[in-house]
Amino acid sequence: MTGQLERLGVIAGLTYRSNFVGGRLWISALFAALPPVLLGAFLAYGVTGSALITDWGAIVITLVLSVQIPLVTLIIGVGLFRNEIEDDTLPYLTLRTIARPSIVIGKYLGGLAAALTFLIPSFVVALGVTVAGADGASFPSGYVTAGLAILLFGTVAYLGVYLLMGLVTRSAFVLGLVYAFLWEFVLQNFPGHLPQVTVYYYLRTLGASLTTAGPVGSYATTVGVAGAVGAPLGVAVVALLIASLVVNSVETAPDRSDS
Amino acid sequence: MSASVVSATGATKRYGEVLGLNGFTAEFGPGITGLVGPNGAGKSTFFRVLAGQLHLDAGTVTVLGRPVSAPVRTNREVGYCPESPTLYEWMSAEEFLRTLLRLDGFDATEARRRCEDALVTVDLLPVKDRRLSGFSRGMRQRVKIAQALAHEPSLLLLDEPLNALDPVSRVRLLDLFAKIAREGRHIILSSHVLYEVERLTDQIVMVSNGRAIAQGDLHQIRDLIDSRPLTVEVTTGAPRDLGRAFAGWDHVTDVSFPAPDKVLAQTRAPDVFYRSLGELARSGAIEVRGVRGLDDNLEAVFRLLAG
Repeated sequence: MTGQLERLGVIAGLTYRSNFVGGRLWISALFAALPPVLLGAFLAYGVTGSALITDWGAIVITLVLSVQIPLVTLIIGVGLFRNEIEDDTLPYLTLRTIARPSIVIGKYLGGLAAALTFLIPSFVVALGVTVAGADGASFPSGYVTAGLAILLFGTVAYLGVYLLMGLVTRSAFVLGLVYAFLWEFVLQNFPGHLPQVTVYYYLRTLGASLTTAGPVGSYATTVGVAGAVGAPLGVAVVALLIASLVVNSVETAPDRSDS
Repeated sequence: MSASVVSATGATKRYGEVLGLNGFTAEFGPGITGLVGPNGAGKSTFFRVLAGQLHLDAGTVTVLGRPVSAPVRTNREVGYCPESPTLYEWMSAEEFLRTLLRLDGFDATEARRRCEDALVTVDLLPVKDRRLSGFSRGMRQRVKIAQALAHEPSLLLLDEPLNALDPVSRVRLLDLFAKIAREGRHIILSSHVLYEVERLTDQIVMVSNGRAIAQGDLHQIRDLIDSRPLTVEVTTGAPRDLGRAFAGWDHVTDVSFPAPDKVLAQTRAPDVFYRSLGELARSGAIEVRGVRGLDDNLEAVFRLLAG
């Protein structure tokens, strides 16, 4: 007999594989392809050298952080529980002798691995295109590390939020879009401390703490690096804690007509 | 008398304003028991309570002597086959079973062995590598039963396992259930296909509107109708004369004419009715071509008791 940790791994594996079937695969792959394709287009139009490196930074902020990460994690995160609830397959998991919080963690880890499977290659290929067109120009100090940190911490935070949304509401996808493009996008443009209630703020702070160059490094912030790292992680942890509490008490009721 | 496998006392479950279970009280003994009732009666709700998937608002339910409030412990001894046909469509039958067995704590080797045993039991070993999305309804049902069986539970909960199956698949599943019961497992099987439950077991619990309205041996339940109105359909060439005769009998409470050659009579005293009808037919006064007790089957018993 195996322990809870191994069962958690089984859930993670099951979840990871489930994200590579059907429409979700193609939509996630489409979003993953955007940055490399866009940089390839810049290169084809003759943008090279340090200008291309600057454009890579701009794409990290305007496309990867603002569109690609929220949408890929939305597609994957919302489906982690919502699909099982709507297909009525969740009882196959909750009936087993695995602790319910382990199901939450396993699903999150499987979803995180799936999201990064789309996002990391996209990041690496986009970087490769930029390096190929840089004509020997070098990346500013911390530029790539900052982009990668934004990618990783953004994925960790947004996926947790969307997992929770998928668990608690049928309208998770719409709510997720509202969160990504109204809450995160609109509030970041408000003056004062209001942007600090967005994950975006801390991810931009994280980028600015690792480099001062280009679009990645230029961000006015009042938060230190600890806050920039802690906030996205904290969002994910809180989301998972709430999700664990919800799953512990969740009921998988039959259709009313079948009851 | 053997101890109860499942015991419910005043089990109540609400979905907002709707009562899924309404003070459900019943005892389920060893072997196979049929949970019989129409759609919406509360069968699936009761199964989900037994499987630890729903929490009761009131009352108590014990499974194999333990309260269902300890689902992780109970789940080791309970196999649940839900009604929904949806599975992890992208998996093969073998992957599906092995994954669930791993979640029950079996290591890879043991999971593989139990998976093969379960697939042999449900006769799906030859198609173990096929994707579940390509499985027929009957094959899906057998996969669901295999996942419920594979960890070798003492009690199997089968929610409408015969629903929407073709006749050949139904017969195969009924044979399978009988085989599983012979191996010493207890089965609670829900259905609204009453004659098939009747083929499998005499032990039934009848449920309607979230309440157990009758339970026990089917024949005992049938005895209940002796003191209740029974509807009899008589085929005759003289329906008006026969109807007039029925109207004169004290124990006949209602007479109707569903077809030109048929008379329906509802009687409070079936024995007296049949005796009197026999005498009437023998006397030659009224031609009687056929007699059929409409309530003389499980479905009618249910309708009667559900009233």
